[in-house]
Amino acid sequence: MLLCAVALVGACAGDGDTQSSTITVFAASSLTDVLGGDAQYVASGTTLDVKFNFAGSSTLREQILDGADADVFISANEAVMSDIIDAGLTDFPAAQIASNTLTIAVPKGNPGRVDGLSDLGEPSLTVGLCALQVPCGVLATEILLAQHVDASIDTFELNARSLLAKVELGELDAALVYRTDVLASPEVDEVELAPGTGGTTTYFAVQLSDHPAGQRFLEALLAGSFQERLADAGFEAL
Amino acid sequence: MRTSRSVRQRPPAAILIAAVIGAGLFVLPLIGLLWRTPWGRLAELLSSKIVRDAIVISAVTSLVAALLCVMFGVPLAWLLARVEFPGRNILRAIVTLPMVLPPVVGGAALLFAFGRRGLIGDPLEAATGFVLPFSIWAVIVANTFVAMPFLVVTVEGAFRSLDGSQEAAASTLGANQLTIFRRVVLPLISPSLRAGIVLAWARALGEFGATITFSGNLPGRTQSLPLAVFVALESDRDAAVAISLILIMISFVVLVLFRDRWWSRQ
Repeated sequence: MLLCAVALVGACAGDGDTQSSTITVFAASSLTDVLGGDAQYVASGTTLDVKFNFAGSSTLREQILDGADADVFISANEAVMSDIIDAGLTDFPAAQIASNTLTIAVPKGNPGRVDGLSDLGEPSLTVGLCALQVPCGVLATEILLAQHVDASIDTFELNARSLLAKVELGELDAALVYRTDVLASPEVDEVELAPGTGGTTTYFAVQLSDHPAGQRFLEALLAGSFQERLADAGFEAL
Repeated sequence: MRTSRSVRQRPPAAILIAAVIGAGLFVLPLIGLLWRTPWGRLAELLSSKIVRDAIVISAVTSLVAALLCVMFGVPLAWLLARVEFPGRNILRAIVTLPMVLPPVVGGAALLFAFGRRGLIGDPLEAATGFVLPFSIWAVIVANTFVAMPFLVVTVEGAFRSLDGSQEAAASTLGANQLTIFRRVVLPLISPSLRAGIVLAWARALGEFGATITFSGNLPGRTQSLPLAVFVALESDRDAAVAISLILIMISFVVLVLFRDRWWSRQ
């Protein structure tokens, strides 16, 4: 009896019943505004029902490695995505969906008078980075090393959002965050990095289940209308 | 010798089953942690400078927080228990708020009050140049904020349970109020006070959310053991489990040793 019921449910799920099916998408927290909010995902004439779990890419990776049920994963860099693929958790190839660049966020009015990357070495300023364990921290450390800046860091925040929040509150004079986060926040100003500094990361998306809506969701991400939405938010679209 | 009134016959099965399930909720995660512990790499994982720094920061901040809890929490508990004033119930509710508040919210509230652009923090910086966030003092303040309610609740209960007769006796013998408080009242409540200190200290030791929000996360300055665990979880799970094990061992030793010694004695 019970076996039958289980088999039946399995058959139903495999059928591709798009009307009632919801997919779960684990996405890097820097995509919160652009993927969430009023975004609609329409593919092949149907509006997809998408549930999001936003968190730092590394946190999501740990959740997925621990068996969390996600249909699609979007990471904020390639290394985290590679971990998922190397762990054999997907049969699908990962697709690039956009890229994002680091910039210096300062509180409105730039009270610390930050001019560029080298100011992050000024001990009298409070400076924050993302932790080295998350993609934005890896990226920030790379450019600081490449530009030979010995930054005087006061905090390593565990994700880009909490880092930005400390700039918004005026607790930090400067922080290296994603350009999109700066554009989205009315309470911070941007001090652009000198051209050629680097600090660009690519977002990758991959299907983790063979749910048909997952495939459609990826198509919707790559469609022109969504790529425009990404560009408006400050991402570099494909 | 303790006089034991424990029931000799078998306990009712329903109660026993529920109690075993209840115990399982605590015992199983602990076993899970021990099971995941990389015993072979333990010494190597725990000897890193980051871990040693975190142990020192945790030890210092939790002990100083416990001390501050006593210095300010005992008078506060006394005020709440013994002095009638308007708004007492509201104050009591506010004092115990950190027990139910998500710690991250507590940390944000601390920033709004004591942050560099906060209500108190802004004039404080203007006057003295002192900035609380991102310093070890911020860790101590966050720890005290989440821990003190445990001491206040425990000690206030003890103050209330005194009937006042010994204080009255001391008073007729000519002792002044402060002397009565120090020499009569405090000794009477000392079992509760010690229990409150251990609870508050344990809460401070495990504190994470308010700390990371209010004081940030910098190894060697503000990164306590719980923060180190959280950061390590993102990169090296073995290290995270190893650090958790230290936290558990410290807490376990203190709770087992002192709980029996302090709570059961009246």
